[in-house]
Amino acid sequence: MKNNNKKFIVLLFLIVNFNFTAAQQVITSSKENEPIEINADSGIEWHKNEKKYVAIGNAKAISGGLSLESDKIEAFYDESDDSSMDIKKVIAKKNVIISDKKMMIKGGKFAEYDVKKDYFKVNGKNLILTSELNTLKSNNKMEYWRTKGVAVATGRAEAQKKK
Amino acid sequence: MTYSKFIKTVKFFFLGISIVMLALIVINNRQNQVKIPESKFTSSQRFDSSVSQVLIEPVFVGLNNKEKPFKVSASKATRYKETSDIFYLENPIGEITFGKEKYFLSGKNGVYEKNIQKLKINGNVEFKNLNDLSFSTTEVFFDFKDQVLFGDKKVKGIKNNSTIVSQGIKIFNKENKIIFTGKTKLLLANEK
Repeated sequence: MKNNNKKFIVLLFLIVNFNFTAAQQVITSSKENEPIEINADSGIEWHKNEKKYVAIGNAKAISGGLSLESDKIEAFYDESDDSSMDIKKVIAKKNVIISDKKMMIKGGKFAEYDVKKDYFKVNGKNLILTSELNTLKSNNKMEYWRTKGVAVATGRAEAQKKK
Repeated sequence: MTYSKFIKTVKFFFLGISIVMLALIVINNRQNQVKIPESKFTSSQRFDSSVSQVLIEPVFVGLNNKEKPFKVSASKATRYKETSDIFYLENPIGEITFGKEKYFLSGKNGVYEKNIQKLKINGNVEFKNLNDLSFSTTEVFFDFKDQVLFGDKKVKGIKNNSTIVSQGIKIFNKENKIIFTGKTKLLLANEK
């Protein structure tokens, strides 16, 4: 029993550094002033009181090289005095797929993207991150710092380096 | 002339007079029907007997469920005898308040149902608010009583540099919510 627990704790926390410094620089510079495109098959709701957009049915949000697909996407914004909008957070629910030029995360049931931090948190029982060089799996949570190119898998996690 | 012939002639004479009088009464009644007390109203056009009124630059003002005023105006409105509560509008313009926001709408043609306070506008329909949000479509309906705006024709919305294109639209005042129905594409410009 003790041995099993030890094994589980070892697998609890894995960090994978994707080492794409060159790519990070490109992504960071292109993120500035990049418009966000949101598509949905079953409509988009604009909740003005809650300052959010809700895209329903095959929803897809694209900004620069980053893409977020899901059954439902909610985009929260801040509004300035001149009523211009600034998206601060994006939430995706069910069948979440996140991809950019360097990686793809599949199997998410829930994902949260902090636009300013360029940071993803994904929950799901069968999470798989694949990049050119690595594969990372988790049965609980995965975090991904896009600019830094770092992913952290929590729970029963597994990292593999491609040959 | 025999007595019986004289009586017959008198009978036909009085019958004729009664027919003429009856005809005059009917004509007089019709003329009374098209008399409109307000100066903006003009009498019906003779060439179309079913038209009961043609209104030049009419203005309809009412209150919605929240006691907020709404206004519908047009360059010309026509209503027919059979459907006296329905006004067919040319170049309609409407003003409707959704919560804190006031929308101004216009189009080529419209139909306003006065008793149920519903307006349909079609042909180059545009509606906008004071916060630079504007929409264009080909047909839209406004329920002034319940403060709901809806349409199932292609809609394009613009706010500053952001755009949205959808297959239809619904605006609900109660929740301050706009629903873009069907396949929708939203392009949000990063404005900072």
